[in-house]
Amino acid sequence: MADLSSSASPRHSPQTGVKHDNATQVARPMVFRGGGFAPKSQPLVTAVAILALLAFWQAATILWSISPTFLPSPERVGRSLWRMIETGELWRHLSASLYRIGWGWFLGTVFGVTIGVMIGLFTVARAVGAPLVAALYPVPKIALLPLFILWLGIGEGSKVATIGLSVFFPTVIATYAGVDAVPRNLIRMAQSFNVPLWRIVWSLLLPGALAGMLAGFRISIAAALLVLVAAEMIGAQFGLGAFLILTGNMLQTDKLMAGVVVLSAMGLTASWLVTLIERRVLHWR
Amino acid sequence: MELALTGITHHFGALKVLDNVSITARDGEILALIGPSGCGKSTLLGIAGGLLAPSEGQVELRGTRGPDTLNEITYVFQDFALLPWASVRDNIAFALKHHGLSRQAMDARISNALERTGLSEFLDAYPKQLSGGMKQRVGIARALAVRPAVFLMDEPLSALDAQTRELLQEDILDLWERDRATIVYVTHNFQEAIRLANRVVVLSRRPGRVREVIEVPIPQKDRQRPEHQAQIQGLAERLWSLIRDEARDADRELING
Ligand SMILES: Nc1ncnc2c1ncn2[C@@H]1O[C@H](COP(=O)(O)OP(=O)(O)O)[C@@H](O)[C@H]1O
Ligand SMILES: [Mg+2]
Repeated sequence: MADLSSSASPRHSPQTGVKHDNATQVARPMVFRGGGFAPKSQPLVTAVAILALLAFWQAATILWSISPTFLPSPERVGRSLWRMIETGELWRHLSASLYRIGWGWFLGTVFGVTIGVMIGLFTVARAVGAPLVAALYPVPKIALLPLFILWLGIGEGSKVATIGLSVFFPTVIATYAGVDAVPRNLIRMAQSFNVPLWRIVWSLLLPGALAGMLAGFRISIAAALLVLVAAEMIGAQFGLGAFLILTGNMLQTDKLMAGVVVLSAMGLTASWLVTLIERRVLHWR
Repeated sequence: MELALTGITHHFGALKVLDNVSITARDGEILALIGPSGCGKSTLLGIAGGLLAPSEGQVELRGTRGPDTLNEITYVFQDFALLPWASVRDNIAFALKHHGLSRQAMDARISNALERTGLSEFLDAYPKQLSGGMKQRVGIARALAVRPAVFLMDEPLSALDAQTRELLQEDILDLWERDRATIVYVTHNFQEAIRLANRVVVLSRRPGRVREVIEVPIPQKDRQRPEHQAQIQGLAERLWSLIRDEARDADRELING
């Protein structure tokens, strides 16, 4: 191989033994061909882009004198958000929503993780549970709200239950996929030291499944927000969903968009919390 | 203690993996198990330690156990089997916690095991911070901490590079020289087998049968000496001639075929 470029005689490829009569002598510098894609996050670029978008929006509403009912300017939206905070109107709706989504998410997660671990552990649980979960997961949970209203009444119970259910399914799936992803050899190791089952679950399966579960939390939070708003739109006096319907019906577009901003902030906060937890508990990765 | 396997036959579904294997690891010896890959070495070791129920045959542990033995038969795994989220200390503690030891007794076992494997300063390190050799030292320390009567080692050094393997072979011998536990040592490396073992069991290709048992009649600590090299060389050639054809055939076989 070393004499490939120095030899002047007809060359034979060392692999194929084929004679290269038309071989050409080359000497060129290596050009950089790429080292894989590596998109980075650039907070400054992000901030500039968002500000530019807002500025364009603001300018557009002024320049083309768009009716504030049709498309309120960011400034108007900001103002009405501030007014809602001052008057306590926002908190009245937000607190109702937080109560429902808090309980719904908590209950859905507790049951989801429990069932998910069981499906990950036991053949019977898997045989019964996995197909049921697969069958019910794609059903939009909001479709079950009327049923829950029938069973639990029009109050908080039916909304919490619907949200809980929408959280339950993705959590079950993320948990048992997480448990499945725990290397079998670690479990064999634990069994070879006679570690009792409860400790295998607590110190091995749960920490091992945690990464998958946290990824599942992001999905379940989004699902919970969706169902929360839908349920409140259908039948609630207070809550962000009710607020959106109300302001929409009264064409208070600025308030409506302020409500959307609050929803987005809720989602972002929740996802930021998940990131914080991930940094704390997954530092070993 | 002595570990006796009698008439072990094992099937995975229709696949016959082991065929009437009988071997006994004598008290205080290193018994190497060697054979082409896929011949059922890991399966046999799983059966020996109660992680797999054989289709036929028995496993029996005989002798008197030490007073501080917590787990009579203990594995050292090829892939180390460390909890990635736990520190070195917690990895060892994981094997001890359910035995109801006092805090001091547990700490004493952990620091003793770490000392013997040269890991004392890595107490708080996480597996991802450790080299392969250090990870396996943790695996060995975890096994030492329960003071087993029998160690089952399934290719413990196969995942390591050649130099590290050399170092750990010495370490394993040093540890063994001190308290002469029984070790069943699976390997596919015949030089490793001759370096470590008192006896080498050669298994045939799948379904694994005992082809031959070869005694290495030189004390482990003398095997590097020049005057034994001719004998060692002879044993190595004999072993290689036994596995060579089997290894070639096994290599050409379809997986699960
Ligand atoms: N759990 C299992 N189910 C089915 N087949 C298996 C299982 N474990 C191992 N085998 C098969 O049994 C044979 C022996 O495997 P193993 O004991 O791991 O061999 P070795 O350790 O000697 O390389 C292989 O052909 C392997 O594919
Ligand atoms: Mg193996």
